[in-house]
Parts: sequence; C-alpha cells; structure tokens
Amino acid sequence: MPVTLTVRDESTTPGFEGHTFELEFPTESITVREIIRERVYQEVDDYNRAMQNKATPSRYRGLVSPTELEEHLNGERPATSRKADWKKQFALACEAYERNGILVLVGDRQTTALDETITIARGIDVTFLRLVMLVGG
Amino acid sequence: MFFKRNKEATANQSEQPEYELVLEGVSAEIVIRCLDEVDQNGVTRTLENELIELLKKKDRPLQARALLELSAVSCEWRRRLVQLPQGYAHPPHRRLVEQLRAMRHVIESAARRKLPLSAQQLGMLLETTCENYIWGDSTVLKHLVNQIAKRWEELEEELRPTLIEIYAHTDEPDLKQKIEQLLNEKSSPAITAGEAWTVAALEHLKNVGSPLEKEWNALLWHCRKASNAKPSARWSKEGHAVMERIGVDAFHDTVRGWIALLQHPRTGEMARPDWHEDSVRPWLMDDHHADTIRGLIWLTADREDAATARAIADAAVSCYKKVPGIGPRATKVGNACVYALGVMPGESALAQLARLRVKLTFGTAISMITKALDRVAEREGVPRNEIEEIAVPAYGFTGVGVLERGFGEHRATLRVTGTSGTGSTVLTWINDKGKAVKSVPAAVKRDHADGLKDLKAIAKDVQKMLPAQRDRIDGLFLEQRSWSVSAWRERYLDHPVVGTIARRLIWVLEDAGGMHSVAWLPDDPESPVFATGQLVNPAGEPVIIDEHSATVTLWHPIDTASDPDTVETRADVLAWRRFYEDRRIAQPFKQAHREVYLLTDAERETRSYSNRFAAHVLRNHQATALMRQRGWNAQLAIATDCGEVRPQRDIEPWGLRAEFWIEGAHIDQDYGAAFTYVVTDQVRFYQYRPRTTWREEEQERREATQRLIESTEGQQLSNEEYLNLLAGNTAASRRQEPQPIPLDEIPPLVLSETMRDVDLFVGVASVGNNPEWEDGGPGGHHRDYWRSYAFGELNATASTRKELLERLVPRLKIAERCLVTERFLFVRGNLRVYKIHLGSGNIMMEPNDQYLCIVPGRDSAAGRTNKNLHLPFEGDRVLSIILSKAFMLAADEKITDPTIRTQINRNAVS
Repeated sequence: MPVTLTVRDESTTPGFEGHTFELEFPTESITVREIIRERVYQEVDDYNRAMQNKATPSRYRGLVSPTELEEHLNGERPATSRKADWKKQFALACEAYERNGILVLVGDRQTTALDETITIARGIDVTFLRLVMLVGG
Repeated sequence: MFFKRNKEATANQSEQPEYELVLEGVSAEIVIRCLDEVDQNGVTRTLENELIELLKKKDRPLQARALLELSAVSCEWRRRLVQLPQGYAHPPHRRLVEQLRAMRHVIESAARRKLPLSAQQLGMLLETTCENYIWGDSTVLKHLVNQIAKRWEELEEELRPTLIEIYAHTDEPDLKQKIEQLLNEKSSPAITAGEAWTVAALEHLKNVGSPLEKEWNALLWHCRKASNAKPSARWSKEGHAVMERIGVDAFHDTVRGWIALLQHPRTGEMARPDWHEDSVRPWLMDDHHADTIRGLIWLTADREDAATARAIADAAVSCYKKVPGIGPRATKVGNACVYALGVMPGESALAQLARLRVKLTFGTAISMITKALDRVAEREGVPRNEIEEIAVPAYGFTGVGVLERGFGEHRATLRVTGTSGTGSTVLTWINDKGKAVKSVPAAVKRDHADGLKDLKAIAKDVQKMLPAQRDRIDGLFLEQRSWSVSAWRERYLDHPVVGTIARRLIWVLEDAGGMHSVAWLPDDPESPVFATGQLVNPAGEPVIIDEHSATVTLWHPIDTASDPDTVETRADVLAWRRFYEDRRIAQPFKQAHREVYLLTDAERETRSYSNRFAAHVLRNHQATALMRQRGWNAQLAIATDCGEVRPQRDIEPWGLRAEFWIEGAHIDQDYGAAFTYVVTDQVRFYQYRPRTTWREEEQERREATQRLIESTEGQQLSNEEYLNLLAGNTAASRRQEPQPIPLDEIPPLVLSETMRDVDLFVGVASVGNNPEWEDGGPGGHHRDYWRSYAFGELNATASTRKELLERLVPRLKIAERCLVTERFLFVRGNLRVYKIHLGSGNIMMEPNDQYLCIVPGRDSAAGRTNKNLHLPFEGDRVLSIILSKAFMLAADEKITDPTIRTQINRNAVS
C-alpha cells in the first residue's frame, strides 16, 4: 500500500517558512537512503522540467533592450543552465549525509545512518537540514 | 667675523635677543637692515629674499663665510629659544622662530652650492648642522654630505670620524645610505648578496681577476650613484670610460646575463629590515641595487643588441609587475628599461618597445613608452602614429608566417600557426636524408648550437609579438587609420609576421570604382590561410583594384561614414560571416562576427546618457584590471569621500571621451580600502580634451591674464572697467564642468565599440555570473546585504531562527549537549562551553567570553562543500552555519583544524 510522507524544509526566509511537500513510497518501512533518493529524484526532475519549459532560459536582460538588428547580429546570449543528472546528485547527497553535510530528521529525532529503517506513521514528518564546511579564521 | 656676538645683553630676556649682528662690507648692511625689520609682520620674507640676493652674487668666499656664520648663529639662537619662557605667541619667541626659519632657508640654498670650505670648516659646519638637525629635517645635512662626496679624496681623513658619528645617530634612511656609500666606496663592493643578479655579479667579481675586479667595482659604484631619472651626459661619459677599460664586449655579455636575472625572486633577506609579508618579500629590490642595475641598463643602450633588448624588455615587464600592498615592483628600474630601449639604436629595441606598448597597462609605464616612441619617431624621422606599425621586425622570415633555415644538411621550418600562446609557432625539421623528424637532429644540436639558440629565441619573440600585434590591430577600429595600398601591403598584408594576422582580416579598399571589401584567400584551400593567394570578395571572387590610387581601411560591421540617424550595418556582414564559417577560418579577433551596439529608442529618450549597462554589480578589482587592459583610464574605486570614479576612455581621433559611471557598493568597507564590489551606472560621452595638470591650467590662466593686462596698456580704463575686465577673465578661465554630448550625435562606430567594451566589463566581472556569489559567498555579505535591504527585518529573522532552533535542536543527535536561550545557542563540548549568537552566528567561549573565530570554508577544490549538491532546500544560511558550528563544537576534542584548536586551547583565563 503506497504511503505518503510529509517533507518540511525549515527556513527563515520570508515566504518560505515551513515549506512542505509530499513524497510517496510503496511501503511503510523505508530506509533513510530511500528518502533521500526519492527527494533528490523529485527535485532534479522538477528542476529539469522547469529549465525546459522556460522558453529562453536565463536570457540576458538589462534595463535597455537592444534593437532587433542588433539582436540578430550579436546572436543569442548563451544559456548558462545545464541538465542535472539525478543519479549523480543522489550519490553526492549520500556522501554529504555521511559526513554531516546534510541532516535528515524523522519525527522527533535525527537519523544516524543511511540504512536506518523508518516506519512511516501518520503525523510523522521529515526535515532536511543543510550544514556548511567550517574552517578556523 | 661676519656676525659678532654681543654677550653682555643678557639681563632682560623678554626684550631684544642678546645677539647683535655686526656685519662687514656692503652686503652686510643688507642683512642688518633686514634683521632689524624682522619683527614687523611679514617682513621675514624680505630678510630671506635679501639674504638669497646675497647668495646670488658670485662672491663664493663671502658666501662660504655667510654659511658658516649663519649656521653657528642659528645654532646659538636655538639654544636661546629653549630658554625663553613663553610659546610662539610671545613676541620675542615668535621673532626668534621667524628669524630662524628665514635663516634655515638661506642655509639650505647655500649648502647646495660648491663653496670653498676647508675640511676643518666643513667639520664645524657638520657639527652645527647636526645640532640644528634636531630641530628640523636633514636636508642641509644631505646637501653637505653631497658636497663632501665630490671632494672625498682630500676630505676623507679629516671628516671620516664625524661622518661615522652622524651615521650612528641618524635614522634618516637616505642620509644613512649616502654616508654608507661614502665610507664603503673604497673597501667594499657596491652591491650585497640577496638578489639573483647581485649574487651572479658578486660571483663574477670574485672570478674575474684582480685588475678587472677593480674596474668592475668602480663601474658598479659609478652605477650606484645613478640617482636621477635620466643619465646625465657627464655620468654617461665616465661610465663609458670604465666600460672601455673592462672591454665593451665583455661588459655587454656579462650585464645581459644580470639583467635577465631581474625576473627571478630574491635569494636572501633585504639589506634593510622590512615589514612586508612573506609572499611579497621575494619581489622587492634593495634601493641601492635598483640604482645600480638602473645605471647598468642605461650603459647597455649604447649599441644595438637583439638579445640585450629582449632581456631589457622582459625585465621591464617584471619590474612593472605589481606586488600586493606595494604597487609596481621597481618602477625606477622599469623606467630605466624603457628609457634604454628608446635610446638603443636599431630595430630590435623598437620591436621590444612595440611589444611593451601593448603588453603593459601601468600608467607610468605607458607614458614612459609613449615618450620613448616619440623619441624614436623623431630620431628616425617617421610620423608618430606609424612608428608602431613600422616597429614590427621581419625576424628573418622567408615568407608570410614561414621561416626556413638550413643547418648543414638539415633544414628547419618555423611556422606561425596561431596568434597566442606557445602553440602559435611550430618548429619542424627535415633531416639530411630528406625525412621529416619531430625532434631537433643531434647533428644540429652538436654543430649549430648558436644558430639553434637564435632560432628558438626568434620563435619566442614571435610568440610574444603576435598577440601584441593582434591587440594593436583590434584597437585600430577607433583610430580612423587609412593607408596607401603599397604601405598597407608592406606593413600588413605582406608583412612576414603581421601578415599572418592581416590575411585573416577583412579590409576595405576604395578607389575610383568605389568601395570593395576584401579578404585574403589562399590558392590552395588546404594550406594555411596566410599562404600564397589573392584578395577576394565575400563570394570568393578575385577583386581587381587600381593599386596606385586606392586607399585601405580596416573593415568594421558598421560603416564609419554612416549617418547616426539611419544607421545600418554594412550590407556584406552576413556574407563575410558565411565566408569565414564555410572555410572554417578563425579570425584573430572578432571582426566579421563583431558584436554591434546600435542606438535604441530608450537611449534616444535619455538623450545624454545610456542606461544599457546600469545597475549591475561588478567585482571591483577584476573590472578595473579589465578596463585598463582595454585602454580605459580606470582607478580602483576606494571607500573615501573624495569624489566619484569614472573610468574613461579617450577616443582622440574622434575628439571624444567616453565615461562609464560606477560607484562603490558600500558594504562593510573600511574607510580608505578598495571596494569589493561596484555598482554600474550610465555611459556618457564628452568632448575630448588633453589631460592637463592643475599646474598647467594655472599657468594657462596666468598667461591669459598677463596678455589681457598688456592689451589694455595705453587704453584709458576706469578702475571699475579694468577690474571688471580682469574678473570676467578669471570667471571665463575657471574650469567649466563639461557637458555630455547627446548619444545620437555620437558616430555609430564609436558608440558601438564603446558599448562593446562596457558589455565586456559587465559580462566578465558581474557577480550575477558568479556562482560563489549566488551561493552567498564566504559569509554571504553582499547577498545578506541585499536581503536585509529588501526585507528589512533582520531582527525578525533572528527571532524566527530562534523558534526554529527550539523545534529542531531537541531532535538532533547532539540535543542533550545544546540549549537554546534568548540570544544564544549554548553548546557543551568536551573541552569548553560555547555560546553561538543567534543573530550573527558568532561564537564566544565560556568562562571568559573569549571570541572563537570559525568561518564557512571556501575550499571547494575537492568538491567537499555542498555547493554542487543539487538540493534546493537552501533555507537560511546563518541557520546552517549555527547548526554546523554546534555539531563541530559538540565534539570539540575531535577538531583537527589547528587554527581552531589553538583558539580553544588558549588559556581560558587571562
């Protein structure tokens, strides 16, 4: 029986506080690795689709639009975006998890291993946190 | 005695000074009168002038005596001044100070002269001056030491002890160095170890043998005395005399090696201790070494020598290179290099100058090179704007882009294959059996070492010359240059080196039959583009032109003659683009595909300025460097209140000046420091006017007034009329704020090329293109600035953060070690307790609130940061930092970063 897991992104950015969305899983018992994989797949898929849909991705736009003749002669500005590969991103994310680069909190506690098994129950949500590399100054 | 001291009048200190001056002879009267008048305000100036008048007379013995006496008297008076009870406001005190000041001026100018003083008198003078020196600067002492230096032979015995004493007591570096030079001249060499070239020079001195060693030493000392910006005739003459004694060839061969070593870092410490950073130190030069090598470089300029010219040019590049916190490494040595190249006869020095002209961007260097080229142009009798195109040597090439040379049975071919980098030339060999081989045949290495070395040096020179010429020709679009066909063929199309560039460009030929745009097409499509071929039109058909009457210009997509209102690009732009695309020919720079920028309606609306590139945020240092490289006059924007920065470009042939307005982005900037970012604004155009200094402007104004006064002579003008006339003149000559020229009056070509430059600056240096910046960068200053600027509520953010942490922390692995309070997240490590501020993410350590500095790492080299992670749940960066710090500090005993460990382990209580 497919179950739904609520994912919450904690942020203080105005407009994005407590942004939530849902992921679907075929069974109730899943590992942390599967949560990450599902999330990364979703994100990458959304991103790639958004990139394709934009007619002219990241076209250069200034305050003054150039004339048609000029646009024609100078050509299109190169788009800077690339397609993302979810497998690569998934590997990166797993690697980041293992060195505390990202944290995954399930319910009221932090998961400690990728292979930790979690049972999805009603009312449990998952929080992703991202940490940064630190050095002495 | 010039002055007689009256020691009786000591009773009342507040009245007259107790010294009366009794003077001998006619000139003495003047002095008496002046000193009597001196206590009336403003009259000291007269005393000074009168005394200087005295010095103008040719009576050297009288002046010598005056100097001695003035020095002694001012010495006595200074002692007297200390005893006076009140300060400057007290009339006798003030009077003394004014008199002393006047006397010092006179002493200063007298000390500069060559006066008939005996050793004993000079000794006295040194002593009195030293006593005066406590009161002022060491100028007089320096002058005296200079005088003594000129007669050192006869004076040494008497004055050596005094000088040693002065040396021990002064801390004036110039003076110390001057005295040191005098005291050491006989006994020790002019240079010390510590720099690559001085080590080589000292080694040479050791090995050269005793009679020559003495000559070399003398030469080095002579060079060390080269303290002017240019060699004087006398200095050169003496230098050449020593050079002859050493042997001219030996001199050139040896010194060339030393000059080449200028590019290398120091081998040891500076002679004078310094406080510079370790990364900078290797590039500093000792001052006396800089002087010495400068003299040597000047002396090498007396004959043409391709190898020396090359070494000097490389040294110039190295000396003008900027080191952090200092500026150019050794401007004076760089200047000497450029000067020497300008004086050196022959074309190899000129070729190096042409290379430097494009290579260097440092302001002083540019003006030195311009002057040197002016001199060469004058010497050779060539128009100034042609000297740079004539300056490119043929390097012995046997065809355009090809040099073939035989080495016995073997043949070498050097081919130009590109325009930049070491790959721009290729050297191939055909051995004695007629077979192509990749490496240099052993027989050539053995039998023709010199020839081989020469060929390799030519390849190096060409590799450097090609990009320089490419950049020069790229700059020709705004120069409005045109050539006759024969001159153009000689200097461009058929030139062995420049031809490799010119034959990949489009040119416009104009004769009685009209305009033809033409380009080179090789006969054999497989051969390089600059091989034998002919001029064709975009359709690839040969063009026949009247060679005698035609003129040539460089093709640009916008016709220079076009009318701004109905501007169209040339009809053949697309045809030429296809021409090069179809044949897969890469042009040396964008010409057919050159971007064009045409006036827009928005710009017609704003009229005097363009907003096309406004409101971008640029990296200041990168943008400035780029602007300079493109020939703009740009200063690094610095956080001060002394006005705005406007990078500008003079477009002299069109009588215009372009300005790109920028201003610093005021974020966390220390006063006086360069901005990290600048914000762009308008592009404007003004009338070109030559750069003038305020001195020249002042001079101009004065001359105009003088002319006006002379013109009124003989006319009967009332006072009012006369004054009004002069006042009107002053107002008219006051510098007027220039008015911008409406954009629709700017020639389309100029507009396009200027906008192209600006687009380049914005495109390259904009932080919009910078992923680091997108990502918040280290500390994320700028973005946080924008965010707080845009949303305003930093405090609200911090309190949201607190609520969030209260929810999050209990769920973390490290929950039991953490506590969220009003302002801090407390973390208990195994070594100490830490408080992380919820607003800033800064850390303090208990018990003494010691600051712990930990910052987000920038090291993305190993891909260890999360930057590349494609998970857009970015959230709040400070939150991430706080949590990251909490995780790190909860296991503080496991931290390996030494800079953090030492901070934590430092004594808890001080």
